[in-house]
Amino acid sequence: MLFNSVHFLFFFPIVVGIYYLLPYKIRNYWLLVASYYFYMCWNAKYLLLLLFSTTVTFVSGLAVERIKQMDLEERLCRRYKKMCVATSFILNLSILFFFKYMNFGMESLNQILEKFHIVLNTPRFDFLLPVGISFYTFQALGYTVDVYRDQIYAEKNFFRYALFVSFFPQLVAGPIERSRNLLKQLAEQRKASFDNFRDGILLMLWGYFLKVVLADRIAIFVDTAYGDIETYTGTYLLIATMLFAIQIYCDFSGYSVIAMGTAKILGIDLMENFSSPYLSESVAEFWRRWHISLSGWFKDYLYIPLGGNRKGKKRKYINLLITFGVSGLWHGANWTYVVWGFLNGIFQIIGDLLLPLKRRAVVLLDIKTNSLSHKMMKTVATFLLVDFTWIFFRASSIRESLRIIKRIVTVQNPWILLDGSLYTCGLDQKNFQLMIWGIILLMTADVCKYKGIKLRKVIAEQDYWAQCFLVVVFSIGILLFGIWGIGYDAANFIYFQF
Amino acid sequence: MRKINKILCVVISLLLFCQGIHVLSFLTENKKLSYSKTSEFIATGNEYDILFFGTSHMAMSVYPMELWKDYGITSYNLAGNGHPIAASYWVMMNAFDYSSPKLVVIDCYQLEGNSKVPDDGKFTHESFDAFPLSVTKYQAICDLFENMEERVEYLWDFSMYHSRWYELEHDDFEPKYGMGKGAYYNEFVEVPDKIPQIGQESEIELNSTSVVYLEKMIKECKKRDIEVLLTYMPFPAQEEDQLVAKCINYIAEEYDVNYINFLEHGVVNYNVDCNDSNSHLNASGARKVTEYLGSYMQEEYDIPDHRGETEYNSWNDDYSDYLVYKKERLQSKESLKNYIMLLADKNYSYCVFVRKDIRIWEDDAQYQELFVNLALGKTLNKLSDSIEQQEDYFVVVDNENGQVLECMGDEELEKIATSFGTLTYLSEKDNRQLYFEDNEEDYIIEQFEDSGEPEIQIIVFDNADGKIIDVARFDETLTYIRK
Repeated sequence: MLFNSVHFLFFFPIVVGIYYLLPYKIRNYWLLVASYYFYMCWNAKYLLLLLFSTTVTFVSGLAVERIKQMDLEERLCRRYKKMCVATSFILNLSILFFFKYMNFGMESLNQILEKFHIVLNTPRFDFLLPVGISFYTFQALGYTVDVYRDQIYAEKNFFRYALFVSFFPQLVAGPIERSRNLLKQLAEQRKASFDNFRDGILLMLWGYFLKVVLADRIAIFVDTAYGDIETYTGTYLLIATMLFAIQIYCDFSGYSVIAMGTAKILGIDLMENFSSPYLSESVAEFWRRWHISLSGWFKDYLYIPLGGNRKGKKRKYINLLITFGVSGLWHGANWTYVVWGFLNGIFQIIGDLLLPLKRRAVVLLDIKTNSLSHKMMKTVATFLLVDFTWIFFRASSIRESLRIIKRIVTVQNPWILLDGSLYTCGLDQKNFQLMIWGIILLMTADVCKYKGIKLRKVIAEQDYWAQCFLVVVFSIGILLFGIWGIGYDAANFIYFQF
Repeated sequence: MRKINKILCVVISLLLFCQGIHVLSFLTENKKLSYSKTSEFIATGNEYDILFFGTSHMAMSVYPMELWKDYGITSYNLAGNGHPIAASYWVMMNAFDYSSPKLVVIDCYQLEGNSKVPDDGKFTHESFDAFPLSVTKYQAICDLFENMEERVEYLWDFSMYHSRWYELEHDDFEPKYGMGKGAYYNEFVEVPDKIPQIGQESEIELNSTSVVYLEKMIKECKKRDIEVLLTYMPFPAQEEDQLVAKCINYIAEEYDVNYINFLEHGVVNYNVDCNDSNSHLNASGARKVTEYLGSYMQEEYDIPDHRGETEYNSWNDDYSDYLVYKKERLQSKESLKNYIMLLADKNYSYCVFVRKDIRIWEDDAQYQELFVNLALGKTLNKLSDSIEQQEDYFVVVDNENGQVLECMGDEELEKIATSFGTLTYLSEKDNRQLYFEDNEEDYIIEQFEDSGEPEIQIIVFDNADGKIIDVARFDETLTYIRK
């Protein structure tokens, strides 16, 4: 069930209606039922995987807690705790590896062996990737580590914990919630409130705007250009690549914001997943603002355990490369994602290495680092670097990525920006213009956020009628200008494949 | 107070939202589909004595405006493209929410089929979108579609049409009803496929979803005291279609309703009346079927003649609009075949001149039949001779007075009285001229000056006022020469 499907439009109001009619004590049970139904709409069998992951991490949490309470010497206690956490990691990551990386691993192995003229007949597993497996596995594993680190107590209520792992707004595409945030809220009593409803609806509307008005409209242009790179070369591909950066942002942040909105209506605050990432002034800052829940997860549960930046520069760079390489692999079982991850790591390392030079240049050239022009230059440079990495993310193979780069660099056809040819790439003039206006609106909202202006707060300060009127106008606008309905194959949110 | 304020705001917002979507749904709807086809019926449903249902065969074969002109019958053609009987059943049920006809005419083409909806969803939209949301419409869509997404698409067509926002134009804000009370006007001529003969004894057994729905239609009409007439519209039918058409006799007998199998009636001439080779009639064929059906229905059923009744005055205006539409269509034709097919209409009279040296007869035998068709059932005695002897040919077809006057070679027509004036036709030896007798100087029809080139010249008169409405000239290559 997609957030932009008719099914969800029926599902969600029913869930909310019944949720607030039920007594507090059984609301979580209802949400658990709804969440499992939500997940089963894709593939009922894969619910078993979700249950397995839930049970393993729940039991490992309890076991760690139990060991902590046992009167054991510290060394032994730590060893037993580690064993519990390791068991949980091995079991969960094995499933993730099997479903997501088995075929990729086999194919890669075969390609290497072929170089030595060794032919290995490995079977290919034709099964669907369980939706959201990377998300809920990481969320559940995060819980195990949090219990191990004494950051939270192990959850004793299995159903509440099961809801934590499967909470439907963020089940299939995040944000990857921290146990200390979500589990705590699930244990509290939640009342229906006008403010929660208003904020939730506003968030959902903004998410739908990003997804159906912008992301899906941009996708038409990008898919057309990338689908025929022989015809759409040079400037077409350059524009498509820049638009893809915005598409993936709108697509993924749109989903996250809808998730936040649905959770808000249910009285739960999910963490913010994106914070004006394209206004970042460095690649490192970009990763603090992009997919915050995943970046934070890797930082807390991989980068820091590897030693982070505590063991010297060389080790820091190696840790960065490992973290971003794994992050790339997390996004998909393809070498393109690995290259994408490494490139992001390398850009950060280069940025770090060049820092002294940059500082010296600033002094020598008397550059005003606080000036708008300087900041804008850095923002644009960061966007271009990040956008370059998206080419590998979007392409189906490294070879194709290189072909696209070659075609962008070698073919010169800038006149298409002026002679109307752009409107032949999937979007006609009016749709193209609407897309541009949408992007301007998105940029305005992002700048406001960057500057600390909370638009939702500004709206909340208006009269009720003005708030409601805004909701009505925005809803109608999304329905009118969105890409949805017949002929529109409710395009899967890009991040579902992960 | 604060709480009431909040509740009021929410309620008003919901109302505003619904109203906004309602208005946008109307604006974005593709008016060329359902609005054009059905909206007039919904607005004036109580006027109709006869409703027609079926597939495009029916939609393209019966012209309600001609029935009005000739018989004073008020009817509406609700048949739709590709409609299986199940879809027709639900169109009929929705139509009954707005109309209580005296007679329902159902065309039974594709009665052997089991599908419930047309292959192309556009056709379902065409038939159902205009009907406002109602219990009947909900039942229809739920019966016709199992998939929820599809149901939503048809119950709330904004889900499809919203993407038209960028092509909205004046007609979307102030839409106009379609012309012809639901009928489709076909303007082409095709050579029909060969029609196989079936044996007298050949029969098939019909046991299909469509039969079930046809029976439901008949029962529903009987329940409401509405007469039913079954038809099988003419087209170059293949063996299976002929067998199906034959089989319908049993259903008609079982339910004691009348049935006209047009495949067994020589009402149309497939050589000139087909819009495409294997399926639909063109305007000429449709006019013949309409005439036959009108006469049949008047004889068999108690259908009142509303001509002259003041409450039906708007029908005369609609008929005038229909005539204008037909004239515009005729004037837009640049193919000789299509032109003379549309010309074969009793609303017009015409003079046709064919120069002896034009070479159309040898290349395509259909031309001769199309020229014969111009006489609307009367005989053209000299056409064959002029073709054989390679002589000039001139004919006046005066449909207002019901007369046909011909001449060939050097023959001339002097001072012949027609409904549009007294005409004189002079042949080549007298520098070919055609003029009204009253004033030779002023009324010479210049187009008839001999160009010396092989050509066909046609002058069309409107029977309503006797004025010329079109002058068409086709050169040797049959290219239309615009004046």
